[in-house]
Amino acid sequence: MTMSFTSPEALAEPPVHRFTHGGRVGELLPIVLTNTVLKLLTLGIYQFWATAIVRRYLWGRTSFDGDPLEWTGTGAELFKGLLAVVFLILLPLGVINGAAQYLVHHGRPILGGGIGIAVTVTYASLLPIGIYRARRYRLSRTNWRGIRGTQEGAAWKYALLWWKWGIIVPFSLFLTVPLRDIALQRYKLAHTVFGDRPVQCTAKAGDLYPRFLVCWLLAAVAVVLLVVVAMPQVAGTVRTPRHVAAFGLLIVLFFVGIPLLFSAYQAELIRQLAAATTWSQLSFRVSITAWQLVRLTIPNFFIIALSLGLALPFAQLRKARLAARCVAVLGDQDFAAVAQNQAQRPSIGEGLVTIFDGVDI
Amino acid sequence: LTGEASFTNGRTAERFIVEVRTPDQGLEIRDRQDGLMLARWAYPDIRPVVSSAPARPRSKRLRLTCRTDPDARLTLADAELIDRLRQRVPALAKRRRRLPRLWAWAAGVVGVVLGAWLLYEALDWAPRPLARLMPRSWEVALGSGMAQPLATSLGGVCQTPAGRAALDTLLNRLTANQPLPFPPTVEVVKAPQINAFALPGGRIILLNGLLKEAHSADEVAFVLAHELSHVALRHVAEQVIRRVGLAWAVLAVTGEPTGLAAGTVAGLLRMSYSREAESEADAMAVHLLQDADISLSGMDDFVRRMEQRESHAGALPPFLSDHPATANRVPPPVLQPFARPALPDEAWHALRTICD
Repeated sequence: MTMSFTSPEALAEPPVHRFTHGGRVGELLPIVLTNTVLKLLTLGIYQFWATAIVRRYLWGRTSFDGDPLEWTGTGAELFKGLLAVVFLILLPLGVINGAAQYLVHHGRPILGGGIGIAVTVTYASLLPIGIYRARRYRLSRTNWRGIRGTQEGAAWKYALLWWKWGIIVPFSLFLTVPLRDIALQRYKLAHTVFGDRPVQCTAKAGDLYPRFLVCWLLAAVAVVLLVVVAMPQVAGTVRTPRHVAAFGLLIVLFFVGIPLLFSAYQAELIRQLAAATTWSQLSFRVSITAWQLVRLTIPNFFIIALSLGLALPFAQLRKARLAARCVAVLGDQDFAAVAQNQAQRPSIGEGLVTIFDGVDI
Repeated sequence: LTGEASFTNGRTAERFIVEVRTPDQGLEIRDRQDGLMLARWAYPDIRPVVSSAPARPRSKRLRLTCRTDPDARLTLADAELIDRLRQRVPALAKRRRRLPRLWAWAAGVVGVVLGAWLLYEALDWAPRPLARLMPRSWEVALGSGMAQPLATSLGGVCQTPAGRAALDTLLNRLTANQPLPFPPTVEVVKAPQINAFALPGGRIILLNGLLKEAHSADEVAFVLAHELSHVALRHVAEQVIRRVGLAWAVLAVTGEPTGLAAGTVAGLLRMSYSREAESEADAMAVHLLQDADISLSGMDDFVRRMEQRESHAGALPPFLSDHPATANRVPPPVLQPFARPALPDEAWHALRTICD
């Protein structure tokens, strides 16, 4: 008779590896100051090279398993990316739009209007397409132990998903937000490849709903209250000082409270996405809390806005530090078996998304 | 002589602990355990991996790659080996001489000031020639898109047949034989503020508050002449180009995604530019009034009364206000023997009550 025992190895917790981030404000400051001077002297053209230098610093100070990440992109690539967007996409679209206007005013309103709508839809699609392509560029320029990544899938398919959910979400009274978030994030994650190994993501929106519904209900109550109190204001029937005070308080609560409330959902989204994601033999945990998210995003907003964006790298540094603190990588990976990524690397940078370097992709 | 280092070959993510030798033929990288040759790099092909931050004193590391093997990385920590390589590898030999710290800072400060000044100057003079280049049809199209929503949001256009006729009489008198880039239009909007403005494409809007405040048709004639001058001098297109340029410049220099604080700076700068344009418009208004035989005393009275009003209300300093200090706006004393009232009494009454 044989008895089967669970081996001690299987019972043990998988080994945990962590990212470390060693960036310092004191090191970043001279970089940012130099960049600012050069941006002013070049009327802003230096922006792209400045971005590349800051990324090289932030990537270089992030390490995993004793080896740093390396940013291999250049300012020239980013600059060319912007030129390509402006001259190959924005200008032609502008010309087509002008032609559409001409048709509308010269007896072909249906044809002109149709073209106009197509141009508008294309304009609106530039954001998701830009975000997707920027991810591809960034992964292809991120090296670790000489190995880089890529973003598979198609930017236009991502844009279609984005449109689909962009239409469904408002019609469903925002109740489908978790479905949208999971659909978009899963498309991105499940098409992410590092080395020759794809990322897998099995996150489900259903697990997000308990927390989301609480947030949604509280927000709905806030909206109803605001409408009830605001209606007499707008109609101009009641204007007692007490009423005005209540109205002001509600507005503040609304614009401060709702983002705070939904940071609880955002944190849960990040945690669940990470927990459902694997790459090769490794799985992930992100221990971020809503409060950590708030302490990251609100100061970052002020750092960026009050410095006119010049201090953006410091906001990025804070984000990188928090990410390194929160992300845990579980399992063991034989890195000798991970081969280089063979995908064609995009030769130009991320276009308009570079300008909005703070945009989360 | 050998030294220890770590190596990745760019084909897999395996990290090799290696021995590095520096014979004359080239850098040799061998696995420390089995002595297998992993790579041989010719010295002229070796490049340092650029880093944005200075190496920290405690971890004096050097990362190298090779032109013929761009994905491979060799990381050295051995100080002696690094020194030896600096003598052998041409790309490492060139040590940049750093500027003394004080000079670097001084150059930085001068650079910032110079850059900001250049930007300010460029935005000051460039919009004017550009405005002349802007096709008139563009400006007309821009104005026709703006006028309707603006008038509605302010309280709607006022319209009585007699008031309209009075407005047209005044407009025709001021614009007769004057070269204007567009046929101007004037409309009164039912808003209580004492103000008037010119939109792109020669569309002028007078606010009802101004008509109520004016003591005579001559005063309204001055305001209208002032706005017509903005149209004639193409200040509106200039301002549009300047705003767009400023917004782009602030966005480009700061790269800020929210544009929140940038807007404030843009607003302050914009105002200081426009005071020059206001002085020009005043100067031209004097000519328009003289050509139309309308007394300049209307302008004089109006400007002085506005000054009193401002001193009561605690006016903003001229830097913040978008019009020149009132003392600079009083018209020159001119003899006008043929001056006639801007409008007959009944027409002036009709214009004043256009919104009632």
